[in-house]
Amino acid sequence: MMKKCKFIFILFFLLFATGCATKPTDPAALDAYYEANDPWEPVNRKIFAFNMTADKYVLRPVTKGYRAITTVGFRTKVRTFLSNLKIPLTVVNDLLQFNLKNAGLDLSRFIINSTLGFLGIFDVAEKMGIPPNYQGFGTTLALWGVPSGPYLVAPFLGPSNVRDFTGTVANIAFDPFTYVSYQNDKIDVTRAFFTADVLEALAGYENSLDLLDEGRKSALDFYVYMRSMYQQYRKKAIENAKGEKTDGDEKAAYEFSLDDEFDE
Amino acid sequence: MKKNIFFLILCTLAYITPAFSADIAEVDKFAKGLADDIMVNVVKSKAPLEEKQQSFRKTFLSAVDLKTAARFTLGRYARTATPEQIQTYTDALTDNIIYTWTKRFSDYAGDEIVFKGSRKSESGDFYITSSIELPETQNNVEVIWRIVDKKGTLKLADLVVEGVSMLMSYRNEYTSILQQNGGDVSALVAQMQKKNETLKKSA
Repeated sequence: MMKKCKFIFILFFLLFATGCATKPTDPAALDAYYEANDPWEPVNRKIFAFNMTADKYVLRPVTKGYRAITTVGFRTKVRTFLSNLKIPLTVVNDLLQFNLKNAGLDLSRFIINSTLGFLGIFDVAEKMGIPPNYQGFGTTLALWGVPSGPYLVAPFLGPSNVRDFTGTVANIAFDPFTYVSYQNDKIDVTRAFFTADVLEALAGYENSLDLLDEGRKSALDFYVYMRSMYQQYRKKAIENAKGEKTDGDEKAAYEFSLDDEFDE
Repeated sequence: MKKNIFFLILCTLAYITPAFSADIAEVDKFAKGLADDIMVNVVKSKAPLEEKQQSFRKTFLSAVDLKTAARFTLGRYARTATPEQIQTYTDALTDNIIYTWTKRFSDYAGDEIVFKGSRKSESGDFYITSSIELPETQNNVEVIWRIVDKKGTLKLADLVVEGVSMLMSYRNEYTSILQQNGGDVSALVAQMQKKNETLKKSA
């Protein structure tokens, strides 16, 4: 097992070490290069192409099939149910973000939806005035001041960056469900939650399928399109989490200057 | 002497600006008018696609500050591009937005755009928050309208969908393509035009 890990690690290291984009010298190109924050672009593009193939032959047929046999209402319930399972992880992250208020609210959310909401099928808490809030370790790291690091495309999981990818891996360890099932040596429970994770990813994918298709059709370079979307979207999520703590009067990422090209 | 002239300009500006500055109510009206226009002529219209494209083009051209959009989306490449290149680029960008968004609006089967609030930023731009429900997934999508006061005329500067700015996305995509092809704006425009041909027809 250990040997295998080492091997994978070395493989990845070689892949990225050899797959760096060369830094351009032209000032306009250099601007674009820095804005993209993607020094591993050559490798990322390869993984992206792989993901697109997996999308075409596996994810998409499965998702389309799922859509064909279910109604919108049903799919919404499935998403509500699966996301309820993620609330304990959110509570842990609320605490790590020193956001006691949200930790309390989210814990109440979990209890209310798991009981009154029939194991989380109905979002009763939202109707009672506790809006959904999902926090992962990637956002927690960002709030701790960890920079995003370069853009990264993960096999199967898609767009990420070094910080968020670390967060994704850490989420498994931080999820109270993982802990409980491991502690009790209940491998079946672990398996069930792994399945739930896969299902959640699928449901989330189904949820954004139309937007993805739209982008694929209209973009000149779908890889860059996804990169831009992901980076902007994450900035917003982190700003939202930050806004809870400050008074929200920090400038949002979309409030960039429109004539910054001519300021200097 | 130079300093004096600068001071004079500053005073004049300080004097003129308040007369130009729009108030929130006016901006709200502008955004809502724009949304209504799109609702009636594109979203709910039963007219053929081409007609809807024409109607949206009219709305778009009068509402958007194209010059700023074109320069911003070209990034630093705008400095070295020739005026002709910028012009053909602006046209290609306009077509791309018209075709993509007419399609998006036509597919949108929802009922209305709900306006939730507006604010003026420190830099003087206006941000109007609205919400749109997507029927297919029952998701509420947050759309922010960035509106600028261009010498007394209100112009739509950007649309921010769930934190994703349209202008920034175009800029990321196009500057990245320019970076790959050695900064050749004409080559980018050719790619855009080719894409626009397919987008135009896809109903």
